[in-house]
Amino acid sequence: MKEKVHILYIEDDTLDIRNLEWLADQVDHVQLTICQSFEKVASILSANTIDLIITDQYVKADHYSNYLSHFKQLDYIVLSNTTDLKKSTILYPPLKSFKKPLTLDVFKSLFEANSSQKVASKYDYFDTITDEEYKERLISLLKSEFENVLLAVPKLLNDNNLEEIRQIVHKVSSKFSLLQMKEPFDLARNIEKELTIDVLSNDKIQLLLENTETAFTYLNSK
Amino acid sequence: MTNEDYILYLEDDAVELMKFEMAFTKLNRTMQIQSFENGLLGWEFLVNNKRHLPKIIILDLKMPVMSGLEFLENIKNHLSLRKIPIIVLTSSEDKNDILFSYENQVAGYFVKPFSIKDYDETIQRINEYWAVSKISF
Repeated sequence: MKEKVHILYIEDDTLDIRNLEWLADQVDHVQLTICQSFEKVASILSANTIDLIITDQYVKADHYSNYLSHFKQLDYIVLSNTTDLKKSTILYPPLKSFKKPLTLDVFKSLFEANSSQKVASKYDYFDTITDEEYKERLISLLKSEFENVLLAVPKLLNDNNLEEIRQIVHKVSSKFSLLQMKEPFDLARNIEKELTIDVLSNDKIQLLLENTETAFTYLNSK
Repeated sequence: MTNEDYILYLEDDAVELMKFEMAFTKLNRTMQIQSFENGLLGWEFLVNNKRHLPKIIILDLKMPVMSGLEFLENIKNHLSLRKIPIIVLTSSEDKNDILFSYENQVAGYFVKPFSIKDYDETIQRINEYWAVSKISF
């Protein structure tokens, strides 16, 4: 018998709560606790052993990123109608984020994959490509683009060339999209938005470069 | 280019172009795709090929040399080219870009989805709509 997975779901919308309750009923080793405000999260986590947090992006008009300190470094997933990455989430990013409503397939997949499979599942687009010539061409192109990011961005940072960095970041976001790397994609879009108003965050750029390195390493293994 | 019907796709990102080609192939559509990496090359191509214009133009907005918005403005001011339906396919969710595009009478404005599955579905929906449209492609 599988060990129960205890999920804390932070949500104030009745319909969304009902949807997740139904999903939890379909998976027999899931225990669900509902919390309708971020203020109550800390006390719930103190009183219960929670394995995973699923949170709406906004609960009672509060953004989840303002309450990450309450999450006790637990894995968490964000459900949303839009993406809105804030600085604090980058240092403690969500495991994944999904568009509402969460489907049964996606919900089940949260419990069936171990961590290494979760990482691999981000990159399985190539496994679906049967045209080998196309696959080789695509991988080669992606590697070239990621390599350019790794080489060009540090130099451009030294030159404080924000416009060139913005253009590179804009292009790399679509590469992360192709690899289904959601958090780096959101990060790139966030950096791009900030660069349009001449705001440059070195922390974010470094994180982006780390993710680029990860993607490049992955592609080299293909 | 032969005399067959074709799509003109203006996109500076080679990976995005490959993604579009793959999505289009999955629909079993065999129409040719003519692509250029910026608006100026696309513009020059159209001006030099007025006897064999594309059925439809798929337009990215963020391109060097001549952006998609500049291209759009130019083409809509050109008497013989402005009739070509244009669909914007972009990563931009900027309201100003959306407004400008519709003020310049685009046939549709689509934001490139993150998910490959959603992207393929978007291309499929564009295809389904234009397949039954009087100006079909």
